[in-house]
Amino acid sequence: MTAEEFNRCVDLYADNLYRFILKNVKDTDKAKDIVQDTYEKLWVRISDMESTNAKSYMFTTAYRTMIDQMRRDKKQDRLEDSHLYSISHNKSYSDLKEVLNEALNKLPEAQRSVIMLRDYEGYTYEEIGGIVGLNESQVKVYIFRARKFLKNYIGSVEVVI
Amino acid sequence: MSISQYNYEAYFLDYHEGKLDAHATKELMDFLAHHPELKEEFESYEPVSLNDKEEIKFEGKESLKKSLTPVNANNLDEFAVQYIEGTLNAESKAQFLNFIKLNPVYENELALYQKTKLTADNSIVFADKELLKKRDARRPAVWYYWSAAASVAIIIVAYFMLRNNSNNNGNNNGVVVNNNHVTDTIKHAVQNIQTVQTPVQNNNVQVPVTIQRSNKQEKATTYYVKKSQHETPVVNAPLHDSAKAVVQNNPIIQKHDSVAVTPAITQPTDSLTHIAVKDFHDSLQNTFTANNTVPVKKKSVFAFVGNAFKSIGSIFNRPVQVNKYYSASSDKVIAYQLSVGDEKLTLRLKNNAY
Repeated sequence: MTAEEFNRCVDLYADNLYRFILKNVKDTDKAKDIVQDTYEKLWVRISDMESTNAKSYMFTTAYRTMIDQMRRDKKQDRLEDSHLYSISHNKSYSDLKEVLNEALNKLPEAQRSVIMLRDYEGYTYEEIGGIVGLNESQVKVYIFRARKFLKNYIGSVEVVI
Repeated sequence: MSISQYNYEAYFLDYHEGKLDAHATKELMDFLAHHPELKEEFESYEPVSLNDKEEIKFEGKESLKKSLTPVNANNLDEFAVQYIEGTLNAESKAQFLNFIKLNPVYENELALYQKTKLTADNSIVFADKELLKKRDARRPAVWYYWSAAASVAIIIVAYFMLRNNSNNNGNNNGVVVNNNHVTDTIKHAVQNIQTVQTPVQNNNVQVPVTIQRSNKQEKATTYYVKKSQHETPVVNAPLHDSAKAVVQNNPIIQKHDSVAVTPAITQPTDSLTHIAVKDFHDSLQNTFTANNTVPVKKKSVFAFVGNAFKSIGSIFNRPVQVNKYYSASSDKVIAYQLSVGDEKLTLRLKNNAY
């Protein structure tokens, strides 16, 4: 992989990576740090990295860095056992995007990540499994649960555009 | 087969299950008449049946059944998600849509599922992309870091080498040579000169030429070079300004050798001055001292670089040397040469010629 290809990866994927991380950590500074750290790690391995693998490598690296940081910060909510993982809301929403964003935030981290990788980046189940460290069946189950939760959340909202 | 005490159980069981014919039944009854002690056991063979099978039921039988119609209310969610995911094959997709069409009550369910499809928020961008980009396209980062580390190591080693040289030079008289190659040169130069043990004799001057090898553990060797007072030392090579200063300020040479410092070459000689000048040109690490009175430029940039290369060579146990060559007509440097063992790399400077 050349430096030109590396810089092209910056143009192509930095926004996607930042968006993916920001949606999870919900902190712009931390998200930027993780993106920068990820690209530095890619640069270190530039000599043995094919440009076709760069995107997956970056998402994998960023995801793992994010998880490590969440654990360090002790801010990773165990949403599966949390009250957040319930359809409860007491406010009105102006549009579907806002509803979805709210619902997305209530998802467990693993479900949120897999569905974002699926919808935002168009990764296959196998690729998602490689990034988040799950097998294909687990990814399918998480996506199914996530969609069902989102559907129920949307359906339960009083005002949906 | 007749009934005996060894097989009567089989007859008992067959009798109760109705498998004995009339003859066998009569035979069994005769056997029991002769063995009344077995009558109780015979009666205990009453058929036993498990009558509780109707009491225990699996409640989820219906969920295990495969529906004749692929899509139904029970698996609607799975079909809906797969439909959203785009993983249904054409046949299943058609069946699913047909089910929704036939059951409009589920249209809203499908609509909600379709709304779960996330779309990227393009307003979220990483603003500092330019900071992530790399300008150096040719140098891998790993090599860059290693180079930086090596450079620091070279500087540190060179610093201590120079400092040690400075200390050593202050304790020696005569010509101090820190180079094995020059050592050979000087050995060759003085081999035809009479070596004496007494520093000063009549009409003769014995100038000590001390050869100190770079390996400090090896004992320094001192050669006493005899010079006749009548011999006229000459310089057979152009002198660098520093060399001139060295020779001119060397009290031993001036006092006893009547040194004629001149670029004019009359005849080759192995005079002490020749040795000194040649030595100065051949090795930048040479330092000429005489009674600790000769000022010597010890820490030039070139000497610093030369020591750095020598340090590298000592690390890899290979002789590394940097030389520079002067023009025959002036003091200008016309070329640099890097020697690693027998291999030499020469860099000729532009606008100069031998």
